[in-house]
Amino acid sequence: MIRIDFKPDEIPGSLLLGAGDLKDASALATRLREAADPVSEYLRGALSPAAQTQLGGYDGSVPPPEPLRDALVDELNRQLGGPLLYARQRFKGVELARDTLIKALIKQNPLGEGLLRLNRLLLEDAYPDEIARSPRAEWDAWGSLAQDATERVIAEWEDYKPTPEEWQKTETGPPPEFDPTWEEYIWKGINNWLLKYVFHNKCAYCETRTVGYIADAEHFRPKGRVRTKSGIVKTFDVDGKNKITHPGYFWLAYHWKNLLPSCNTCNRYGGKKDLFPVGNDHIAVRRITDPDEKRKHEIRWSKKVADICYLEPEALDAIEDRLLLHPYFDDPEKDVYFQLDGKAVARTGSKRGKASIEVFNLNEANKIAERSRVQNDATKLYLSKITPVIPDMNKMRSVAREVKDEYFKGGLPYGAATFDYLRTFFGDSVLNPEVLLNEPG
Amino acid sequence: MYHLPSARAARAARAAFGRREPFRGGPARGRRGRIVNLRMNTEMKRLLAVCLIVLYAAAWPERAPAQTPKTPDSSSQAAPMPFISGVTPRVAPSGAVIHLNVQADLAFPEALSRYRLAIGGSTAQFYPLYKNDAATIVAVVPYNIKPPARAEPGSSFPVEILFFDPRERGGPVYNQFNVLIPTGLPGKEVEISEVRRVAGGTDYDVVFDDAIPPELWGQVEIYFDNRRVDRIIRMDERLFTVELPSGLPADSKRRVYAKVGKFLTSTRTFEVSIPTPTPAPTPTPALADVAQSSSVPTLLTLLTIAALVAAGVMFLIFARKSKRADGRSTLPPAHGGAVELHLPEELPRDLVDACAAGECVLYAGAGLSAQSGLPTWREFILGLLEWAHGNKFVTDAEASSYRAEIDRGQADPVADSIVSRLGTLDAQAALNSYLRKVFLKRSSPSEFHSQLKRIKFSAALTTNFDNLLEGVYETQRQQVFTPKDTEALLAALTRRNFFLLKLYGTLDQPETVMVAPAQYEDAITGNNLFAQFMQTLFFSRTLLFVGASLEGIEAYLRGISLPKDIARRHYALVAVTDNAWLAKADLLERRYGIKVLAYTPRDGYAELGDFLNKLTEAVAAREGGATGGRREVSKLQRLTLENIGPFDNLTLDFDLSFDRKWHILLGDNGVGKSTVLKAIAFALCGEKAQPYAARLLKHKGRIGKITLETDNKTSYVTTIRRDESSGEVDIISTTARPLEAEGWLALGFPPLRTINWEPPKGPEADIKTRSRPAVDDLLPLVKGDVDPRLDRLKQWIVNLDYLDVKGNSPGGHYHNLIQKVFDIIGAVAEGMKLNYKGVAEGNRILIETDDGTNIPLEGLSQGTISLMGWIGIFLQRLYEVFDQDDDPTKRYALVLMDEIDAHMHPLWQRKLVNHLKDIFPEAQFIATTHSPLVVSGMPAKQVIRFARDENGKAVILRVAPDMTLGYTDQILTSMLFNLPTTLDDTTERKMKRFYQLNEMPDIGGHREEHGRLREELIARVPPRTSSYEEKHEEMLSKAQLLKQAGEKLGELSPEEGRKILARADYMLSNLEGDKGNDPN
Repeated sequence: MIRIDFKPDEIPGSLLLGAGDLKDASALATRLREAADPVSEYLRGALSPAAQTQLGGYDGSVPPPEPLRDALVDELNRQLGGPLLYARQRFKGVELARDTLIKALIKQNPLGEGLLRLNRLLLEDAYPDEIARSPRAEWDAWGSLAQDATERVIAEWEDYKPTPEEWQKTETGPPPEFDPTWEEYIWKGINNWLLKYVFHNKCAYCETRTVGYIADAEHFRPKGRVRTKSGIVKTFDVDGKNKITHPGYFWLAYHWKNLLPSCNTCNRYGGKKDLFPVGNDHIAVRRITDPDEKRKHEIRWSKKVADICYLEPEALDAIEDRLLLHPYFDDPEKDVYFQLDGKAVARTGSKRGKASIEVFNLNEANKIAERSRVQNDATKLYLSKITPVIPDMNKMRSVAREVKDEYFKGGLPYGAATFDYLRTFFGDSVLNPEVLLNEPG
Repeated sequence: MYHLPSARAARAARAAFGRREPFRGGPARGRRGRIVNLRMNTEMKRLLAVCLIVLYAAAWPERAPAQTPKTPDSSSQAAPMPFISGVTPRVAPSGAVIHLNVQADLAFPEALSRYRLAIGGSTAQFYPLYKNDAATIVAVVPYNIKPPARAEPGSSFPVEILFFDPRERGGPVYNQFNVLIPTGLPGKEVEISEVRRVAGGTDYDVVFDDAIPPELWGQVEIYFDNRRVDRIIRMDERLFTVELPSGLPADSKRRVYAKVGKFLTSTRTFEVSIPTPTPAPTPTPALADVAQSSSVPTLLTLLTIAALVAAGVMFLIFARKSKRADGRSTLPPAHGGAVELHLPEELPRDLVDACAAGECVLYAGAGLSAQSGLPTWREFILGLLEWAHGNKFVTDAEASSYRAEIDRGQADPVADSIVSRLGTLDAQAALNSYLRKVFLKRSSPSEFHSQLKRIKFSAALTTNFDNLLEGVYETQRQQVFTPKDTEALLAALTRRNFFLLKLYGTLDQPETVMVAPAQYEDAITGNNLFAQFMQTLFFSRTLLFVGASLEGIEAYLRGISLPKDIARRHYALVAVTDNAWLAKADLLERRYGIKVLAYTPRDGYAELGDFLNKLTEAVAAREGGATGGRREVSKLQRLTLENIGPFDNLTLDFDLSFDRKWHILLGDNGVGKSTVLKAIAFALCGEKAQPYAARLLKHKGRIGKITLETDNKTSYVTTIRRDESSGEVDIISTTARPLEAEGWLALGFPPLRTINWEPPKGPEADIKTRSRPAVDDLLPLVKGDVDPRLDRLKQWIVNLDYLDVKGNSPGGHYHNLIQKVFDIIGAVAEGMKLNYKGVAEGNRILIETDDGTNIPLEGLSQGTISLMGWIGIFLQRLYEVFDQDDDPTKRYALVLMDEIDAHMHPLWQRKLVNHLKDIFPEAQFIATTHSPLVVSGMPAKQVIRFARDENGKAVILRVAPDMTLGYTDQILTSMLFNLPTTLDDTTERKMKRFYQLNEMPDIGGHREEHGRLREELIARVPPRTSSYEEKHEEMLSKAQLLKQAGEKLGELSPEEGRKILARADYMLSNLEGDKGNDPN
């Protein structure tokens, strides 16, 4: 498990096209000029006359001249702003790669930025080889769907618990009967996006590469039933009076901080599933009346019932004393280290390390074996890369950085285990990548 | 022993079983089912034995309605049952085992390793099942299956298949398929084809029709009438040479027949005439006894000793004569210019070594006591003469003659004559009181005594009657021995306890007192054990004679024969007043290895005092202020075999560096693993193992040799010789055995280790809680039969329990001891709880298991019992032999284990060696195994791998250093065990420690250990691969890459480069062993 620095604000790409977003300008120009498909035909028709002229003079034999390219970017950006590019007939022949997302967005009937985002997605899917995808556009699109879906599930909950008395009704038996309509495609979509752009196709917990698998959208806090080792979790009602069966963190079902792509073994077989151990009590829906308390947390308030709130992950963390490591909020290296044989071990006294190894099933036999294999390969890879640049310290340093990035920011698996291995293997030698990277110079 | 299945499941199983062929509707035995004859092929018939096995279904009382066979009762939770549909016996080519081909429908075929075939009902012996081919499952059972005690011939005993899950500690869960094999098998007899007398002897050759496989030789019994032959001298396929049973009158006709094993009985008989013994060419009284003697080893020993004594005496006589001749011709006249003799300036190195090692024994002569004002030998005899004369035991005439003889230096015969006159008890009493008056008067130790005390002798011998040495060494009564106490002497020697041996007896026990040298000689002649003690003493200790004359030393040694090959040198500090000593000294050196350091006594023996002082200082310097006194026990370091078993020539060096006292012999069957163990045990047993000598000698070999060498460079050679004319096999060995000489406790365990259902009859009448190492500890291994000691172990526990209950157990000592036995076994059998709950009625030893129920000891699983057996015996012997120790488990012992993994769960095997290392840190184990798991994590040097080369010769294969390291699946490569792929246990322990240090906030003092562990782990923890070969490749390429990096790094910083290169070299050496630091 490694720490992941992910801040949605820093997601690259903008909604509007830039010159760099044209993956293949000549193909795009050719398609528009020839207007052989309805989308191209429509777009060509919408081009300004000057642009049309420029386009007409282009024969596709060489990359389009800069003025033409700029003109195309400008014209297409204008189209993104509206109206909706989509029309059933127009897109009949287009294979929409993100069909579910786009259809859902169309249903929203968005305006403004929402419309711009939708048009960008449509354009990207219509010209998959010519126009680069904007991760931001897609992220924001999913975000807007998640927002709506969350409101819907909360509304369903508040329908399910229509009166204040209901809020306090003791629920004993497992499982809670609250069973809202889940919009699975949304967390799956967010999950896939995270997997691709943030986790580089590696499991958020064990760093196993999931190429060729559909990773699970792991709800860090279970959306439905909540369990610990000792069974189904009971919690208190909104006023902290009666014990009720925890209904699940349903309001976090679409929350990106609560969605971690994970592999089958981490999430399903013998893995996490709906386990969520905490140090204190689990929190469900709360009523907060104290104004100080209200200010203390980041809170989503009920739109229907006064003072009822749905706490955000950070707020929950603070109250519950979460025991499982989270790649965004924690530095797993401080709690877990990996032995030379690929086995994960909790650092002395680390409750979080211990619980995480257990719940995430980090020491599943195949994973240990695979980790150990990678540790060994990584050592050989590192040695064969660094040996040619010895004794140039600067180059050695950059090799160390490069290798580390491949594991921690790139697609190579088991970065934590690998660097624990290299650290032990090289010890106090200058070849130790840690030593190299920490040395000033 | 196991849970009975629920009645419902059993019923269901019976129903299904009952419907199956060939058991359906069998009328032969009415309700008991039908008999099915299973025929063996003709070849098998020709082989020994079990020709027919009758199977029939058990007496099923009822038949439940038909149900699906696979899941007999699908509606219930009852687990599915295995079904036997047939068992076909097949005698293996060796004849020693039977393969039971089982056609069975196993409920969990994928978990075959958890099934056991059981034979024998409540005394069940369990055998694992193997997959033979796609269709058949096989159990391999020993040929001599022991049926329950009460089974009459013709009756039957059950074969069962049990589903056995070792992790579910209740035992097997599925049960009871009473397919029965009758014991009264109509077997083919072993027929004797000829009985003939060996020319010129009283031995007989018994020739069988068919060859008898070696595995069964131990079970061959030959009878003359109803007298069983005590000793089979030679066993060779068809020909067995036997010694006539004792007590058969001459000139009589006898019927000869034979039995082999349980089922084979010869019916043909032979009549032989027992001849009148023909007088041997040189008849001696001993030889005349041959025909009557039933115990030939003893006889042989006697003969050997007699011969040696005779030779020794003759040699002495001869030597004496030659001395006289030489003495006159070559030495200057005795009273001529007296030569001043001095003790050497330089101390003899080996003397200092021996003293420092606590291996030096003091021999104190009369001269030492004379320093305290007691009479010298001559003075004493003169005084004795005056006393005897005064008391009218000798006449005046005799007295004057004796006086003259004493003056001429003939004191010994005079003493003899005087003593011979003291026939009556009164006279003896008078003598004793005279002796007490003379010797037990107040006398204080001389300065020499105190000097000698500072040299820590391991024992003291004296001819003196006085009790000066008792005072000096503050001996307890039980530390003082006379030649009569041979057992105790041997024990003390073995345990390396200090003792004082009063050669001429102690005045405290008048019956032990001997005054004349001739008395002493008489007393020790024929005392074999004393001879053995003396030989062992001369072999294993360095004697330092002080205050003895050359004549005195000679007299002391006269009655003792010592083997010629004693390499040890002894020292005698002898005061000589004239020149007539050199030849005597020469004789002592040649005959006994006693180096005489002669000196001319002056200034009150100042020179002797100086010498002893120097010795004291040198020893103190050597010890460096350490504990001193008790030396570390030597260990077995090298074994050399010549013409033994499959080996022409084999030398095994046992690496004895710290933590490396384990050696595992690996290899296929028949490559000589067991032979190595047996040879060691045999060499340790010596003559007591004579009957088994023939088995060890290489086929058709004439002379075989086993040499055991200790790390002290002492060699013990045992030679096995086959007489070409008679075919008789003899052994020739030094009488001193490491058991006594080195104080080894040595144990040998054969592979068959199981326990009888019968409880002991009760505590023994005469409970001994101490004893010394004995040959009996090793014989079971040499014999190779089922170990009989396991029942002794139960007896021991019952005895201890009795002592505990009886209340003479200080602080619950005996109870704790029993509990410790179970604790230790629990530690090895990981995951098992074994609580000793006492001895119940009927002398059943009760054990509490995990589920809280008490079961008798015999009810434990076979694996646990096997462990229990040998570890228990080992503990028992440690506690008996080292009963004075606080913790006898920390003692050295040599343990020889054949098939250490027998009956063990693979998970236990993986950790076995490390567990045992923890429990018995000082013990030296040499064990054979078939299981690679046992050797996992062990240094390659401790693993000895045998194989046969293309010529069929037994050879030792090199074990690559990394072969034993890594993950269990890599070690096993091709063997299939349902094991987690964890690292070998040793590496895992090291890793745990390393990360423990890693986690320490302040590593401080452990930095070095941490670094060392890192280097080791880098080399020990291999990448995950599917096979050993791949692992080796991977490790090699990594090490080579590291080496290249290290070489280049030298350009940046030589020191950094060296560091990396050293790491790479270490990895490579771990892969390549001694031969390679060069990656190319």
